[in-house]
Amino acid sequence: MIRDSLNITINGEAGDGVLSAGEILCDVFFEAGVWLCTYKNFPSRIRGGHTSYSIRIADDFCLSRAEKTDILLAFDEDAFLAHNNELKSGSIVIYDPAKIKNIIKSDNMGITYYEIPLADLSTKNFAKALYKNSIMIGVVAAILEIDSKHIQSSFIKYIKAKKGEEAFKINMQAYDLGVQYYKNVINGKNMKMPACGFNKDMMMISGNDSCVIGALAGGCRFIAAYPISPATEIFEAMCSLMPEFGGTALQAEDEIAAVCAAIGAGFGGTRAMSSTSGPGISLMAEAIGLSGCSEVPLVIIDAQRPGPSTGLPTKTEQGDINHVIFCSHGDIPRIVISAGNVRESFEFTANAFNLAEICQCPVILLSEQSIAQNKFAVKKFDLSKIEIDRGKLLSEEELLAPGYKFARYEFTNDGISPRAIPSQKGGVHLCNGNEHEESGRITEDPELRTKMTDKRMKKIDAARVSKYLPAPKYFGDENAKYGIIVTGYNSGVAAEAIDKIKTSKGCSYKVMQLTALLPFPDKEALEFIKKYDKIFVIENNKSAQLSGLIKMHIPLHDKLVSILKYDGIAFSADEIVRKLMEAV
Amino acid sequence: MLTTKDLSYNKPTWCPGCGHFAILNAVQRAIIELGLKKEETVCVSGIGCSSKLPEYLDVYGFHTMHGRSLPHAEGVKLANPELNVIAAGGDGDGFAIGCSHFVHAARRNVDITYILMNNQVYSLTKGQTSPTSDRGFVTKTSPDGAEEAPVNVLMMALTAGATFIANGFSSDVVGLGNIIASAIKHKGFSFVNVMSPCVTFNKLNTYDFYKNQAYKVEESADYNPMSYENALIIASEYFYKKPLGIIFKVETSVFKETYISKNPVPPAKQDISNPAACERIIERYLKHY
Repeated sequence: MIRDSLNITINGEAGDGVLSAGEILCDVFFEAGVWLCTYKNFPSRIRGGHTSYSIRIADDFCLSRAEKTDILLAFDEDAFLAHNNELKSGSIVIYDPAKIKNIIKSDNMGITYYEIPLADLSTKNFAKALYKNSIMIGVVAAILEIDSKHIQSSFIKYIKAKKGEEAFKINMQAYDLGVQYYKNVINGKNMKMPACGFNKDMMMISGNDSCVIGALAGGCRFIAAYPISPATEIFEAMCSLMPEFGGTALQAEDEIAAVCAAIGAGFGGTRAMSSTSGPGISLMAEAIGLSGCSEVPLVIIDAQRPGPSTGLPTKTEQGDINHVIFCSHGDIPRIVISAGNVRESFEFTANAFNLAEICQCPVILLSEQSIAQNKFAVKKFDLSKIEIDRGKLLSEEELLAPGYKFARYEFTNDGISPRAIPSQKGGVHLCNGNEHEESGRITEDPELRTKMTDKRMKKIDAARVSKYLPAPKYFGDENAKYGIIVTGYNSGVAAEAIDKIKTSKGCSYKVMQLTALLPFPDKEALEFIKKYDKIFVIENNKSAQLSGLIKMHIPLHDKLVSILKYDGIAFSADEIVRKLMEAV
Repeated sequence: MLTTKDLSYNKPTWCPGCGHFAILNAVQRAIIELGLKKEETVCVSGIGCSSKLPEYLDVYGFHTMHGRSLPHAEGVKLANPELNVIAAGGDGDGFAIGCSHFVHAARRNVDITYILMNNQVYSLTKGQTSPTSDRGFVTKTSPDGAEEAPVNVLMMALTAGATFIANGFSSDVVGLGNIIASAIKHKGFSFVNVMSPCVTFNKLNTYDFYKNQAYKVEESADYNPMSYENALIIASEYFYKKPLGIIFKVETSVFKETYISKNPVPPAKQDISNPAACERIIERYLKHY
């Protein structure tokens, strides 16, 4: 449970070095041993436009953004326009007058403003303005009294390794200058860091990178994708790591080609995936149907961003739920899983490949920009928990067993047929997106068509009982009066919000986090909904898509109350606390 | 040795006289001539009359979706470079809905063979104009005659960077079999355009129509398939002179070639449990001090 946390926000124009300064500061905090999570808010362009990088440091596992800022570092005027309402009593604002002519101060709120000419100091002392970020890091270190050894180790990692000894030296001097300036020139006040919570076996990682490790641990050896925010980092990392794992990456001409190549590779016997976001997964709809009909395993990671159309490419939303549940014509067996944090991004991705091969169907893993592109401190991922289960994939020996006649789409009790892959003797067959008979050859026979559809859809039951399908998670008090249902990033937000409400108002809630959206955990959800007078369904979209999904499977619709947000920004725990208080 | 019977599955449902029978037979002849194994050969198709080819061919097959045979075929080949991968489909499948995949497959140069079963008409949907239909071709969707310029598929293949381009004809099954065998043998993306008359919906581009315009490229005095310039001239004449044979052939680096040669075990045959390598990746994210 988080008892103490601080939020540091760096602001400036894109190109000001806000993101790189943020990355270095994250590393400093992480190496100092505090829990942290970031929240980046940046425009969809390379230069210009307001960018902010918030780092929330805390005394415990921290999964949601903070609403208020304790330390605001401002390089441009927009910083005040965008973040003034995030300031609170006790906040410290550091601003560089270089680009700021008018500052909008909030009077009588107990906010301390310090003007520090970061760019000027850099130019005067080091001939270039570009060391202003290191001076700023010095200022932050002075405020929080961070040991300089942590700064040094981060600078070695981020500056020395990339730009050499000379750059490292100057940046260290710039950092020192920042510390001295804050302490001695402006006599700035200090803030207390949250208690250091950990020493070893911790990692700091983004949701996208967690998916990459999950995919590789899960045996993925082929990726085809098309660059798209906010999923691009998955594909980039896979491109660089695949050779180490004996796999292949293909940058396709569009998302249709990407998903088709992944299906081709899946048919070819490789665990294969594609990674994308809204516009891409819209294009992939028909191929998701092909994977369903031809029963070729397929994994797609959808890092959601606000739609429709191009929408807001660098912001966050949970608006793809309806699409991934319903997309493509016809009846398709499919599995949809929603990851709520970096650990789940890792575990669920790895297991998605098991589910895809066991059930021989498409598996879609939902992530969100808020998880995908932000970093979180988390306990080291446990690889020993990852198993590889290839389902009913036959060996050549089994295929060639005397008397055995292989039929790719053989009718079986669980609907799952034995599978062979090209190069295997005795397994030659036709894989088909046309309706087919057991051999795989095309048919229009009405009886066979019915039987084959039933067979395919039956596989959902196998998915339901699979140990690789994540079960719903619960937080909070058993005897709570109200229930909350969430998925994805909101699980971390809700968990923190109910702690806060309990501490401040004495009111208790129980949270159910939906992890598998399809097959839907109807028994568990019904049991949960029955227990409470009111159920708040918290989600990031306009049309209450998660609520709609629940209503498709569960009666008692009157109990459900939606809390929605679709401005591109993730919920914070404080926001949820207020909404819940308003609602009851 | 395999026979055409060993390589056949079900009786084709194409109309009697359809050019596609010859293509099926030519593919079987090529497989036999090259001594390919059934289990190591994969035929991937899109949707259409022509895309039913793998339905009648007894090798590993994948009947995918309209226009997307090539990305699927590329995926199969990259998953297991030891396989012989043949993609096939019609002119609507390949040059309308799937046109961009053709351009990118050609420039990517994945080591696969693509057979275009070109009858210049949409047949499975019962007779509409296609991107390769000649100007003025009257169909139900072009009642005043096709207004758009037809795609010159040979020219497009050349300019997109295909490393093997040939033109064949359904009335010459032996010659077509040889062309397809050369295409499969070629290291890189090989493209075979087959003039394959639709006897039901195309009364313009008939067997006689093609026969009257056809000539054997090998018999030309200056025949040199290594020459891009020569190939450009031959391709540019395609709408009134139909070359038979290999038009262009060049060896250049194949997609992921270096990587494939360094990793002799195909991705599909890898031991996919590799916790040691995963541990090394995790290291990069760990707290160090």
